[in-house]
Amino acid sequence: MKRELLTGNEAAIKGAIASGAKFMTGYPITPTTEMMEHWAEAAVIDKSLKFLQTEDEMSAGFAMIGAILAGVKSFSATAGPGNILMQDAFSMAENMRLPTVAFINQRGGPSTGTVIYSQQEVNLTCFGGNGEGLRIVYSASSGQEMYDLAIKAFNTAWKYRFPTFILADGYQAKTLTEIETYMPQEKQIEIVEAEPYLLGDKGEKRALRNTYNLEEDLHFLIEKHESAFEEASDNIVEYEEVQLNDAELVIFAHGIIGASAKEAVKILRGTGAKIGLFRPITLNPFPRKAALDSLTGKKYILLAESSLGQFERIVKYNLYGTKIAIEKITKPAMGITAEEIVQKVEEITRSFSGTSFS
Amino acid sequence: MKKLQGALVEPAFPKSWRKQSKPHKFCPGCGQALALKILGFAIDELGIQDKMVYGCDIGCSLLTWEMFDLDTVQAHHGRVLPTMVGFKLAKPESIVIAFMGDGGGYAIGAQHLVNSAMRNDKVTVILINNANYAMTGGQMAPTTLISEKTTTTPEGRQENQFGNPLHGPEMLSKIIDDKAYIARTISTNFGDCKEKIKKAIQNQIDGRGFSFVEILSMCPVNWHTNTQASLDFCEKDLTKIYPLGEFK
Amino acid sequence: MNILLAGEGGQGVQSIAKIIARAAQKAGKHETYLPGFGVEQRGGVSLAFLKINNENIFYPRFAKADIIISLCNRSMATIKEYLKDSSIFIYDNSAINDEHLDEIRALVKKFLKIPAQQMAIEKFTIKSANMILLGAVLPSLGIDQSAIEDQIREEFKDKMAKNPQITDQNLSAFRQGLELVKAPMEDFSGKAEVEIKSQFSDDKKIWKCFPEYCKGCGLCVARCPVHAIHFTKNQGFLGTPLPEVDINKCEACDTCEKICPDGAIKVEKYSSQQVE
Repeated sequence: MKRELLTGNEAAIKGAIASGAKFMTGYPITPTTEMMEHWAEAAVIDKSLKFLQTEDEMSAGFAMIGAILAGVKSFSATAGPGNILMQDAFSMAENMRLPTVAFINQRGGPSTGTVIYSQQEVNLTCFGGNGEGLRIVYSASSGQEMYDLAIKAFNTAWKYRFPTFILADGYQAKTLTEIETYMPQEKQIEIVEAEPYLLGDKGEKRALRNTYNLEEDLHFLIEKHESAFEEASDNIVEYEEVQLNDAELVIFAHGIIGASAKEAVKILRGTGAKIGLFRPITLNPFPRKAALDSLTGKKYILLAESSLGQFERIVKYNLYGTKIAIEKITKPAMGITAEEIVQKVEEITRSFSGTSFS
Repeated sequence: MKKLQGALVEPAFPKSWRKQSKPHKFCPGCGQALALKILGFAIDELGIQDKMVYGCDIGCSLLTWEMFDLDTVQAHHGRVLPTMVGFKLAKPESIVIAFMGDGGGYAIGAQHLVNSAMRNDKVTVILINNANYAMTGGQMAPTTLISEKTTTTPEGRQENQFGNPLHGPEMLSKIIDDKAYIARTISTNFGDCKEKIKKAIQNQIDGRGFSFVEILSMCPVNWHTNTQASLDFCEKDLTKIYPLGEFK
Repeated sequence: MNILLAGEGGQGVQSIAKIIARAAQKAGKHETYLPGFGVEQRGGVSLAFLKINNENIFYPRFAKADIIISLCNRSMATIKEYLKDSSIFIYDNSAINDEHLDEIRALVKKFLKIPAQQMAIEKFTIKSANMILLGAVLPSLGIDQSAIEDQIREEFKDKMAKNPQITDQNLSAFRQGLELVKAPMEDFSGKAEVEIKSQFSDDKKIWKCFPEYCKGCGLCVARCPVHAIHFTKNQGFLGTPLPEVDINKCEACDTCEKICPDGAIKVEKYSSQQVE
């Protein structure tokens, strides 16, 4: 174990290498480009690492798939418009249960937007392509989590065989801070082995396709995938609960805004306010049971995200039936500081009860 | 069934064809099916069935997903080449074929074709040129001839509207490495077609680099031509615009 | 009324569905017509879903059909689930083998047996077999004969330039179907299994065209350098004509074997023949 000063992008690549990734494809796009550069440099020193800079994100996605079919742990990394193009490959992976791993550093959208920051690629990453969203999406809230989830993602992907994502953003990607790096064995993390889909030593030739002639055939395929996804969900979901037990208001936030909210909870608790935080780490599968349980005894929910409601939609879908009032801060393409969250919480308490929580 | 003296019980399939998926789904008189048969014989003669991966594109080529007794993957439109490039990089001892049509290669996948050639990726591309988008009902393709009628050029392709037909091998020959192999052949010439396919795959086996074969093919259904007219259009009209041969 | 049509791609299922749909609409009825469309241009069974109603129709598919029109062997598996007790099963008993009817025999209560293909080949052209079946279904449709005939004229109007007889030919075929329906229908049966001679040999060579792979494309006929191959009245698995060879003319040059896209022709010289 080491404590290193790293950006999120650097941490992600180190995590991928620690997890046993051997092949990266990519196309330059801010704020993700450095990932490719770090990998290219690592590949010069470690000849077991392979790298392909492709002509666009579509071929990056498909070349990643090709290598996965050969049984090599492969990944790509992109953002914004590149994420859009890579959905072509992700949807093939979704149909065929291929363990693609991709880092998505969210930037302002739609279109070229900004090269900087947002939480506006939740829809695209969780539900993109023309599929049903049978994908595993981790939302990192810090450079440290980018490292930790990088290691986790390859194992989850190869164990359950769904396209897997580490969702982050430009702020996390570029923030330089201290990260604890480690090898999986040091934390008793078992590495799931990759195996080839084609030219394995199994003898019989396999013909893999994603096109079906009859509606029924595709329908049954999707039902099969859904069953597998449901069955795996309990083992995959992750979340963080902060001071929920006696809280009267729970903040729902993910990614870096979850981190900002954690700071807000600390500030508010300092004033005696009974505030807690529920931070989903997996957006897909969503930790629905834990989220619903977290509502016990709560009077208010505050959603906060750097988007117009992409996270809100997922949360409300999963909390369906709750009678608790849901307030929100939706700030597309801009960050949300702890102070802003604190201010909003105080507004809520004032408008609902005329008094503050304490 | 009693085997009579000299009874023929096996059809004339290549060994590398998967028998369970026959009769295949191609239209009667299809040049692409013919090319696939020739490809099958080429693979038989090269003896590489066990280390070969066959990738197919969308369009009529997706009908080949279980054509061969080979490890196969059907990819998205225009994306079979990068998929094979990725596979080859991960497993360099394999022999990979990216099989596609004029749309997958010259339109939606053109940038992948150009860049793969530029990189001299050690893959083999086999592209079927039947001057239209057949699976979807006969729309214009980059290879549709001037004045040729298709469903999206009902008055015939006009140069001032959609430009001139694309010459794939000629274009690639300008950007390739010396060690690449580029050829154009025709599915109705069994010998030439098999030879060119074998040379292309051999280029990959020898580790020299990128190889590409365009195969002119008949499409009677979308050309609305009878047997002889289909042969004429392929062997006379198409070869006039798309000369056969090897391009360096 | 729910009507399901099924045939091989190229047998003209969609043409008659279109004619019925347009005629129904012109006659003031509500209609929807949805072609079934999988990926293949020709290799799959061609289906058409027609709904005709006096009231607004919202959804173009249905679970059970009132009328099913079947033109080929391969459609039996598909149409089976659409049969109900009151369905009228209209089928071409000159194209559909009796043994293929086994699949649905127990389910069919009412039927119209129409030798469409046979009659088409005898009196018109094989391509107008679908028109004969259109005539056969007319009495069940509740649309005037003149409305359908007007629509037939409309459909073939543009093809008249290439083939001036085409409209009349198809109208005659249609009217023939109408006549055939008036005849009594006896047993529910199909075409008898025919022994096809597909292999020809002499003391030097054997030539075979496999009916289960041949699609009747004619490339072998066109390319044989000595014109030894010609089409017969036999049919391959798609209902297309099977070729046969004049073995005395044949020089075993392998041209037909090489040009066949389906691998359906095999030629062998006797010198290395294994004999059992």
